[in-house]
Amino acid sequence: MNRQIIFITETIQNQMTQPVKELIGFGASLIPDHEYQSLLIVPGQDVAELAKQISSETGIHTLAIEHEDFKFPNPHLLGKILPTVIQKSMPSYICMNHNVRNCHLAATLAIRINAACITGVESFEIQNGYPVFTRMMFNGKLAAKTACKTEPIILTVIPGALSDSLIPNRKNGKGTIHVMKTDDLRSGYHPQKVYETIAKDNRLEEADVIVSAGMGIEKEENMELIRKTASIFTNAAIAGSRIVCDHGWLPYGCQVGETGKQVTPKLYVACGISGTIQHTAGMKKSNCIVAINKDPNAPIFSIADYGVVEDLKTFLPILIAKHDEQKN
Amino acid sequence: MKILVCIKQVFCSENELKIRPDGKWIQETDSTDFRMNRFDEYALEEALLIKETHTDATVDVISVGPERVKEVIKRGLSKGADNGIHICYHQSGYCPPQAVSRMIADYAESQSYNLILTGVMAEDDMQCLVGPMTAGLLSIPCAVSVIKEKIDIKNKIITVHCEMENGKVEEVLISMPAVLTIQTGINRPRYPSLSNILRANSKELTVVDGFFPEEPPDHHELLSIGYPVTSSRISMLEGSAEEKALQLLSIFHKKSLLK
Repeated sequence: MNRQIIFITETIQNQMTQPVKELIGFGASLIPDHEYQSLLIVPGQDVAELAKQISSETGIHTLAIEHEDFKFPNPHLLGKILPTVIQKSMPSYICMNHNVRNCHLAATLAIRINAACITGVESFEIQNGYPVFTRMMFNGKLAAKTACKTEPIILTVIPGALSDSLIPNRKNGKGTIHVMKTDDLRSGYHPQKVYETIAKDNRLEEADVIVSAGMGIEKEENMELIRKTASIFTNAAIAGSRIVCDHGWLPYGCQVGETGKQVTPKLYVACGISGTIQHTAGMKKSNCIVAINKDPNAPIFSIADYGVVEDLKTFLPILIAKHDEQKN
Repeated sequence: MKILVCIKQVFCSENELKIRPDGKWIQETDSTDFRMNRFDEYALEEALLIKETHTDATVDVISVGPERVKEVIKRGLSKGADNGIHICYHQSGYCPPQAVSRMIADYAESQSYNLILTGVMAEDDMQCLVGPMTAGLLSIPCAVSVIKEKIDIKNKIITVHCEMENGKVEEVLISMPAVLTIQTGINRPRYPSLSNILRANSKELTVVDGFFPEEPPDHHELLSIGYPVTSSRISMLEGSAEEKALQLLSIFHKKSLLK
């Protein structure tokens, strides 16, 4: 019997928030013999056209679920509607892109349909015919391997878990499109609007070099070291991890990461940044990454090009002094 | 208004984390340091701020785990929480979100809380699941990654602002009772006051037995934890600090980025 995979996407005002191609590829590779059927669920206010477009691009069957409260992401309402849809097809896997709202949805579904649930999946390997999932723990310091004992398995997958080239080609031919109107359903969760908070400040986008501070700087006074380090470059800006901004040591407009800015400078100098996925999501595509951290096990070293195991508080003054010496 | 804050005791992960010989969790010794999950500190502070504006509010803190989690419950009391609840769960090692949320929901169900707050995630397992699972079990709405909330107690509606990616925020109206998972930066967590510390030390905690299910309510098994593989592309600079600084300057110079 063919196995089933259900994919769930997210929309804001009838536009997808994250691409689904990679997610579909991830799901497909979970079933090595590729003997499976799949369904993509597209919740939104008016998404029949979008579902049709994805269907013709990927050949996947789609189900558009429409409700006025799906104009903006609504994991609560979706978690209410989906169990009946899911239980009809008894899928092996339910896959969505990883973000905090999809974790909410995954949690709700896991409770409602009594299923296994793993969030933030980075990769997997097949062992004895079953997938073993790898995800990060302890702010990215440790990686955990998890296996599931039952199906269905609900997964939120971190983008970048699978390269595009590994995505198997689907057979030609259009998938079917179904539209489900659910406007009569009521829930206690009503999205009002989505708004932007980041000031339109392009300094981080325009800088060739970003010198970025993490909790390794320990106190606000040490931000001066970050500023001085930035001043040795011709076109540099300073930035920080979320926790540095939470402490008020830098404005949120300087925050790099999943919830802040995504940057791609020629050089990113990560000073005392441990390297959680929430941070690296915003800078891992930088051309060159230099990591300075006193902890040799800091996960930032796993994505850096050059690593320096030193305490930034003693190392940055030396770097600045050596630069000044060379200049004179 | 009755508020429950779910707090977790986690390893101080800035310190070296030793993996247990069986590879399944962190090795715990007498000198292992623990603290309150940073995300939960913000959730507790938010509850205390709500209490300051809604003077009839009470704030309970709850934590699931072995005897040592009493420390974070006491810390919650010393910051100003009214009551502490300890759900004793002695099984050592990793406790999955399904089990934790089940134990919290079992207790919360009998107490008719108007609001349940917790951190958006735990720093140790980083699953973002306990909050929404607790809401699912209690069949009440949940909003995740909250950075601002306004409570309309008369109409039992909360306006929440939920952080999304790339600086976007979603504004949502949710009905009470509800679970909110709190994002960092929403407030500045306070330090305990001396009078509250004294009160916390003499305050009796409510102790509830966690369950020991024959069949755990989780469907997955943590096989092992380990240090992630470092990238092959990295070159670690060697030598004294001065030598490393010179090597870096030469790399920057070759890229024509220096002044």
